[in-house]
Amino acid sequence: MKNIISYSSLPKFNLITPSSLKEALELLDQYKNEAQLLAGGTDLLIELRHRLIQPKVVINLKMIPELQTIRITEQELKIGAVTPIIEVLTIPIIKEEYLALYQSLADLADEILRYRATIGGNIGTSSPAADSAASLYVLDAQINISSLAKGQRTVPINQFFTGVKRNLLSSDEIITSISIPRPKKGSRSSFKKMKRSSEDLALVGVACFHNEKKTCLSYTAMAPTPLLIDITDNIVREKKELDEAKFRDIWDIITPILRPIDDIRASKKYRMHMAEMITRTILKEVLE
Amino acid sequence: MNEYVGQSVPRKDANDKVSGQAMYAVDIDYIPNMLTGKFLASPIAHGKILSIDTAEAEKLPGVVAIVTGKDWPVKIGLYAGDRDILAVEKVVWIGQPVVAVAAESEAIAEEALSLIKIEYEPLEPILDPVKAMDSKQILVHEKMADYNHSPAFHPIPGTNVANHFKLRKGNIEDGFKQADEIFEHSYSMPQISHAYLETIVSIGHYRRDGTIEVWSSAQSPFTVRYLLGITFATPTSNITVYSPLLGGGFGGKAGLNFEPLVVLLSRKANNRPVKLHLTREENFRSAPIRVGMVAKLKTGVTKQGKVTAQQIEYIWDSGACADYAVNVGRAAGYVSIGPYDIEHIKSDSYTVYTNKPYATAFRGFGHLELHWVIERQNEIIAKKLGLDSVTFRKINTLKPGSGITGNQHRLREDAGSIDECLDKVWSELTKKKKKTPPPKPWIFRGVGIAGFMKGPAQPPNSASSSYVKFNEDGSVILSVGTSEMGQGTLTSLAQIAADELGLPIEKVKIRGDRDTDRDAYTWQTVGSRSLFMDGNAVQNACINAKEQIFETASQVLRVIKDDLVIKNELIFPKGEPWNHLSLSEVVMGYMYPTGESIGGPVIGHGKYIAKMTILDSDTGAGNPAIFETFGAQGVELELNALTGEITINQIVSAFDIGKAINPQLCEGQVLGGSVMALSIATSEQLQYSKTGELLNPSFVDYIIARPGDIPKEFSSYFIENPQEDGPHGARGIGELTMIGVPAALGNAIADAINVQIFDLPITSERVWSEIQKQRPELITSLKKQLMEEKP
Ligand SMILES: Cc1cc2nc3c(=O)[nH]c(=O)nc-3n(C[C@H](O)[C@H](O)[C@H](O)COP(=O)(O)OP(=O)(O)OC[C@H]3O[C@@H](n4cnc5c(N)ncnc54)[C@H](O)[C@@H]3O)c2cc1C
Repeated sequence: MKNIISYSSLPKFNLITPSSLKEALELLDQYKNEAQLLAGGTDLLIELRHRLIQPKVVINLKMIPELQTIRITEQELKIGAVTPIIEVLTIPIIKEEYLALYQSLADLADEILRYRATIGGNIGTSSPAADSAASLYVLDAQINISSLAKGQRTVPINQFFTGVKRNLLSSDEIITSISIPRPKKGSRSSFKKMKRSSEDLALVGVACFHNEKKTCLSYTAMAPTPLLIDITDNIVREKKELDEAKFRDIWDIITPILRPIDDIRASKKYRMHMAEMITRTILKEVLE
Repeated sequence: MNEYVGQSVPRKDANDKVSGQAMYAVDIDYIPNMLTGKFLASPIAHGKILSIDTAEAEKLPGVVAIVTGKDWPVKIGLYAGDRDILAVEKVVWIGQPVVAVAAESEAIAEEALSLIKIEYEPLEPILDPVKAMDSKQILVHEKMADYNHSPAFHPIPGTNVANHFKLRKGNIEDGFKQADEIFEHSYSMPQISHAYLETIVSIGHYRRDGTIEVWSSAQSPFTVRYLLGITFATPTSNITVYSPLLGGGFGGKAGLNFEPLVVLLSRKANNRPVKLHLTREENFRSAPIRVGMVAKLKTGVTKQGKVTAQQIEYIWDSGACADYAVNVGRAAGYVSIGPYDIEHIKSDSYTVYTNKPYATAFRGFGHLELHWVIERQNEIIAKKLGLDSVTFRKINTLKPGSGITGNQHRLREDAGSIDECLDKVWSELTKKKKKTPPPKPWIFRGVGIAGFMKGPAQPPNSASSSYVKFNEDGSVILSVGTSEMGQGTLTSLAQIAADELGLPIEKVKIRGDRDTDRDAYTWQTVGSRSLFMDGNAVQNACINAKEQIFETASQVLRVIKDDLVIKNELIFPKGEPWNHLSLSEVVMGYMYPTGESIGGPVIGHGKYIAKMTILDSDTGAGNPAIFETFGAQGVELELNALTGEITINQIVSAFDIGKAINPQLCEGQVLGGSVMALSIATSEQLQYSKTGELLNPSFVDYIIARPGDIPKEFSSYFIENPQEDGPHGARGIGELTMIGVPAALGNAIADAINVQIFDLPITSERVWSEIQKQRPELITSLKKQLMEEKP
């Protein structure tokens, strides 16, 4: 039987702090699987301490200015991957145009943690409960990725997550930024999460986006990856008030897609119930 | 002469704690040649140890010593010796220390652990305390009959029962015959963690001359010292225990824990000191926790509301060891029925072993648990009889002179009043209750109240002492044995001393750290006993010092000793302040103008010993405590029936504490205690797998209240019916501030939505699923209303 050891030390590794993206990409290209990327470290340090990973080198991304820039153009909002959550929350247009993102990040962990944790790290961990994911899904975010060998590529966020704590990054790639299109006038979004205390991981997270052309929902902690569900047909095409019958129709589409688990945080039954309750309130809120 | 007593004097340790200068056990890193200790814990809940192979680990450079259970196979414990320092023949819970290493660094110690090979023969574990009660096949301790235990306890060898406490009064059958209605319900509460901020740190130094020094985050350094003496068969005078300030304890650091282990490591490591600092995960799995509870309650009551019979069975899930928790079962046994006077009682309180982490003392010591049972049941009865919550309770509450723990012991005339506490809380609660209807149809409002009592659960010979040592300028060093872990008692004790000696509070120094060689003795820092017990000792020490001062001053001033008083640092005959000596002239000895000197340095000493009796083993009759503090707490809440979420708007508390020596510190206790209780009531639980593995050994999934969960409004009321033998009339408050909250919360939920909850914690999921079970139609109709609601 393997010995259970609760480590308090960190494993041995070399910490390297590049000062440009190019340098970071070169290092990553050199070490590949033997390297881990460090942003805020709020996930990484736990994995290191528990020996879930034992990298030879840790590449610290915090001293690379280009990974922390925020740019707003007519087309998009572009957030550097290593931007701390607390700074994302202060982006001037975030509340008006990206309310769901604002709400999800304002409810991520606690204030102390939000100074450290980064938005790229939240995506990089690829937890099914990642708070930023649901809102980035409904806001149609694009993940910008770089590597020395292949240069740049961009993938829609709903293709990025591939399983519990798995994503499509290859070992030489870095997330450089996240691009979110500027929503059309009249668009609305919202995010809500169910927790066990006022500062907790999501038992269920739900984001919703709606404008005259499109309505969609996204769920976290309800399947191995976040889920995106387009309900435009039900909402936009058939103009009818959202009443109990109509909600039932929508919920019938959603229910089979959700695959929550039973665990110590909540039962499957309660997760399903809460997903339904949040969906009811969030739809009412966003549609009215 | 009360200049300070009754005032909110700022805490003496505030500056140190806020500025970060305060020293805790973890800060002690200045002992030369210190090694790091680390232990390997059992990965199985129950099993025989077949072999331990440490050969590889011993070869690792930097490993200085490795110890196993066979190195010192002595059973340790406070009331019952049932715990191995390191598992000897078998392991009894996942997390039990089996092998320990002392090494030059943490990393080396950890690597050494990974090289140790242990072979086990797994045995079937027993995890459910109710099953453990009846099991004769699976025994956690087969050799219970050989264990030493204090005569106050009644283990049943050949079973898993570590203690059976009986309370008997009247004739239970007669009691039920007199009843018009009978109520029967079961209640439960899971094991929980103390969740103190500071994880356990212990440093042991087994010195070459055979003396032992220990630095430890221990609540009761004198008990640690005493038990170490027994463990290592050495005179107490050979042992020194230092306990710095504690980052919380809540009972979790009250007994003997890892101190013997670090001493053992040091002994084997060529007498080099060894420091053990538990990670949070280790603290969850390997350090003691709080008992779980399963209770059955059968109550007989007349139509008029008089309870005629109370039949109770408490099963306390103590985990793998019960060296301290046997007394939780005993204390909850003699207070079985709460603050009520009932003619016919039959109560059985069993402390039971299971293959889970071991339990110890926990703030409230079984009383938060038992009042959850009693006060939930009382509310159910009151509603059924159509009586209001307080009226029903007051028909049955203890009054001065009522018998407690059976007939023999009468409540003192100056014991304080539960009725006044209930009245105060109920009137404040109903006054502030929102009159407007809830904002949405699925939001429900409710109020709930619970009454309770608690006294210190300590042995009848539990004692405290104090000394007060004067300095040249008339300032003093006050020494007590009680530890500082957040309560603030030391400031209150300084206030008592300052008033007694006529000194400004700034001239009374009281250290927060404890040193068993330097400090006056106290039994333990537990049970809300310190202000009462150590407070009396402080007062006696000051009186003794004054005796010495007056002896000298009466000669100098040529007056009768008894006429002298001290005020503003001056000694003078009552009514003649002009005829004075200053304290500084006397406390080191008085010198006449000729140079002739009398008296000498003043050191006053004082003591106090509990006045109680041993309880009868068949009926539980006797005097169990030096005081009972009475209290009541009320909760006002809003509940969302669609999600099960609860929002607590306010908590109202009243306690009859005799005298609030420092009102602000009392309020601090109420705030901290209520929030802690709320956290326990709504979210805390240790969760295990079917094999006994703790599934939530970190704060990711062991949920405690966060700042945002603290209710908006708190009000606390201190009722002051003085108890003659308390210092300035005071009784203890620390633990009391938690006891009523869970039951008041459960009662408020019943009031809001007519759904009964019997099990803790009351998570949102539990509330929702109980509504679903008890009122299924409600949720369906509310969902519709939600969709049809116009913005
Ligand atoms: C107490 C606590 C509470 C928490 N509460 C929440 C919560 O409520 N909601 C929630 O969603 N999360 C929560 N988390 C998880 C964590 O804080 C977040 O996921 C956070 O956003 C991670 O960001 P980071 O910068 O700290 O990531 P890091 O720990 O630095 O990195 C996380 C992972 O992403 C990789 N990575 C980081 N940056 C990049 C990059 N630019 N390109 C490629 N890979 C990268 C890293 O290699 C690593 O594998 C909590 C964590 C803690 C410790």
